Formats: sequence, structure tokens, C-alpha cells
Amino acid sequence: MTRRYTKDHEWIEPLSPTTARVGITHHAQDLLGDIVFVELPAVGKVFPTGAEAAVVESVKAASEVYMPLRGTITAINETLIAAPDTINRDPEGEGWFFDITLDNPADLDTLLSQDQYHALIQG
Amino acid sequence: MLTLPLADCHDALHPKWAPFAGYTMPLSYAGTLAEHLHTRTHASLFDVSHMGQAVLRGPDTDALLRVLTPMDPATLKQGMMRYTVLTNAQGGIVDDLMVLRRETDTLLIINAANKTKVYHHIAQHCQGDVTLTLLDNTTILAVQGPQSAAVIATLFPDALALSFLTHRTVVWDGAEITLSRSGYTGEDGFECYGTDTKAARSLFQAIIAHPAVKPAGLGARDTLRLEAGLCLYGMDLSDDTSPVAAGLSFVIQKAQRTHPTFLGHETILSHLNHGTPKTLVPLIFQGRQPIRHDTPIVDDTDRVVGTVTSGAFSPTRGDVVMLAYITTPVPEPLFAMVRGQKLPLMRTTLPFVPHRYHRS
Repeated sequence: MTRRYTKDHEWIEPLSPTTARVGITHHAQDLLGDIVFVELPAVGKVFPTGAEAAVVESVKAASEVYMPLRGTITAINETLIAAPDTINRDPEGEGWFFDITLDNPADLDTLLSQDQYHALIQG
Repeated sequence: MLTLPLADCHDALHPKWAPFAGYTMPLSYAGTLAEHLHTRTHASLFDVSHMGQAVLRGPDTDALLRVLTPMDPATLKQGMMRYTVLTNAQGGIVDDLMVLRRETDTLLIINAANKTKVYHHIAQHCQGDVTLTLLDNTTILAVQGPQSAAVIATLFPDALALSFLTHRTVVWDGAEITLSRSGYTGEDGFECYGTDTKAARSLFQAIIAHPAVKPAGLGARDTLRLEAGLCLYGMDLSDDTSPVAAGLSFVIQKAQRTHPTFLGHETILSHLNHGTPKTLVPLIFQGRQPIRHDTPIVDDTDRVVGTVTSGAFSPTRGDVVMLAYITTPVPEPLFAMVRGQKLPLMRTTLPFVPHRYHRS
């Protein structure tokens, strides 16, 4: 299954037909600079598409992480709380934010493909 | 947007650029945290050429300084420099600045964003035989950190004789440079003030070539100065800020307390003797969540009692440090309101990280 992206610089990786993992892109961490703090959502919480699900703060700015698609939080990456710099080091791997169950998995197709996302950040 | 005279030197080091005070400035190179920690452990090169250099010349210079600032110019001998403020008639701060007494003139180092305002303010008060000149093509290179003396000694062996807040004229690449032992990071360090871009460029290259030195940008400069407890104009200081409220009473020298001549002395000396309605308070949050400029401060009844003017994650300490104006008497306990959360704060004293100046 292919990874999708949002215009707000989140990536969403399907883990199964109904679940996915969410994080911020390499480009997003580069824009933020050194990340020193993250606030993660509670497991079990339901968010609509586009809702503020997490907060990431760097030395220079605070930024929201939006729910890419409507769903329920099933797991959070608690290692980020003690080691937020993991997001700078490996944003699209070890630096994931949370896992979700998707209400409408078909909506994944409404998000950006890797090529579309790269075109967006280079444009 | 203005560019730094040495922008080409920076391009080769691939910084992130950001607009600041009308200039495109290097924000960071390897990253603000890494640059901050390198400055505290080794030595960093900062290009702060956006700052202004103005010169006062003539026998009535000291009379002018007695009106413009709460300093006592008689105590500023040649080779010395002093941090002070330009006050306005209402008792606020026009700018905070360094004043360097040189052999034939007095050099003022002023904030980039305030250049025009300061020029007009000083020009308006120039009386008698004194001239004000805002210099062109100015560069300021700052080497900061515990290894800065070793770095500068390879270029200017005589510089080791300088102690904190003293300066001398040196020659580099055919041009005169004012070299001071000073800076705005809390570390030992040197600043090189020049007006010859070609010489500044070769000096930049010579400094950056030293193995202990890495470039550092505005991001690290801001977190370093905050850890050192140093105010930033536009954040902690303004035309409406009393130097007493800002914790800068030390700039009011003895002669100006007994026989005051500086602008706004009626208000400022009243603040000194009777206090101010609000005061700048250093606070710590024992967590990692940054608390930034404009964050409201509340007391235990949720009443807003102040505002953060500078706040950041402290890379050296590992917690969060801030300066906030709080109504007096300062209540306890205090909390920062961040996204609906009430974060408990601790009062402390400045600096947040001990200074390591080289005093004689």
C-alpha cells in the first residue's frame, strides 16, 4: 500500500485495509528546525478530518499536526516525549506520531501521492 | 530587504535565511541547538553586521551623552566600552546600545531595527561642537565561546591583553578594525567592528578556518542571549519600557543619580526610588514545552498578571526559561497559559546560565 501526504506536510502510511500510521514529512521537520517538544493525543480519541491532533514545537516555532482523515487514535509514539529530536532524525520512520483506525479507508485516495506532494513543496 | 555585506561568505556555508529588522539574515547553519551548544563549548562566528555603527565626534560629545543616556561619560576612558540605553523624555527606552570610547571619537553600536529612529533622536539633541555620523559599509563579526580567545590570539596576539568590555584598534588586511572583548551570549568573546568590506571578508574567512569555530545564526544568538539574561529590544525593551522595570537600573550611574541630566530622569529616578507598576521577572518552567513571547501569565486565581516578552527552551539547561513583565508586587505562584494548559513557573535570578566573561 502506498504512502499518502497532505498539503499540511503530514504523511499517512496504511498499515492494513483500515488502519494507518501518521507523521510529519522530512520537509516539515526541516522547516521547523530542532524539535524540542511534542504533545500527542489520547488513545481512543476520535478526530474529524483536519482537526488538530498533536502539537510539535521546535526551538523557533509551534506547529499543529492535523488529522489527515477522520478516525480514532489507536496508538501513540511515546518515545517522542523523551526524545523529540527523533522527529528531526527520522521523521518518516522512527519519528511517527500516532496510529489510527480510518472511518472511511477509501478516502485515502483523496490525499496527495508522493509525486504530487513533492511537486507541492518544490513549487 | 537589505543583504549583509558578507552575504556571499554565508552562501558558501549554506545557511537557512530569515528576514530580521529589514535584513536577510542567516538564521541557522547546522541547526540552532547544535550552534548554541557549540558556542557554549567551543567558539562560534556570528555575523551581526545588520547592527548600526554611529560615531560621535567633537568636544561636546560627553555633554550630549549626559543628555541621551544615564551614563557618566567621565568614567568611560579611552579603550573602555559600556552597555547603556538611550532614554526618551517619557522615561522609556529609545534603544539599548554599546558605547565605545576610541582615541578620536566615540562609537555607538545600535540595533538594526532602530537605526533611523536613533539617528533622528540623537541628531535632535546634538548641541554645540559635536557631530553624528552613521557609518556606511559597516561589518561586525562576533566570535563567542570559551575557545574564542585561542581563536582570536592566532590572528591578533595582542588581543589576549583585553579584558571584558575593553577594546583596541588592530589592523587587518590593511584596514583598521576596532576589536573588543564583548558579546551578547554570556561567554567570553570578541567583536570586530569594521568599515572595510574586503578586510571583513578576509577576516571572516580567517576566523571560520580555525578548527574550533563553526558559524552560528540568529536563532542561536537569541537562545544564548536569553540564557545569559540579556534583554532584546523589540521583545523585552521598547519606547514605553522603563529601564528600571527592565532590570537595567545598573546603567544609571552614580553621577546621574545625584545630578541627573538624562532625558526622562524625573520618571526613571522616581521608578528607581519608588518602584514600577510592573517589573521584568525571570521565570523557569521545569519541562520542555516552549513558552514564547506574548504568552499570558496568571496567578492562582487565573487573573492575568503579566506577559512573557522572551521565552525559549534552554539548550544548556534542558528546561524552559523566560522573561515576563509582571505587575508589582509580584504574586506567587505564577503560571503560563499555553493552549488552555496552566503551566507552573518558578521564579529565579538572572542569569539563567552563568556568565563566563574574561574579567581582568
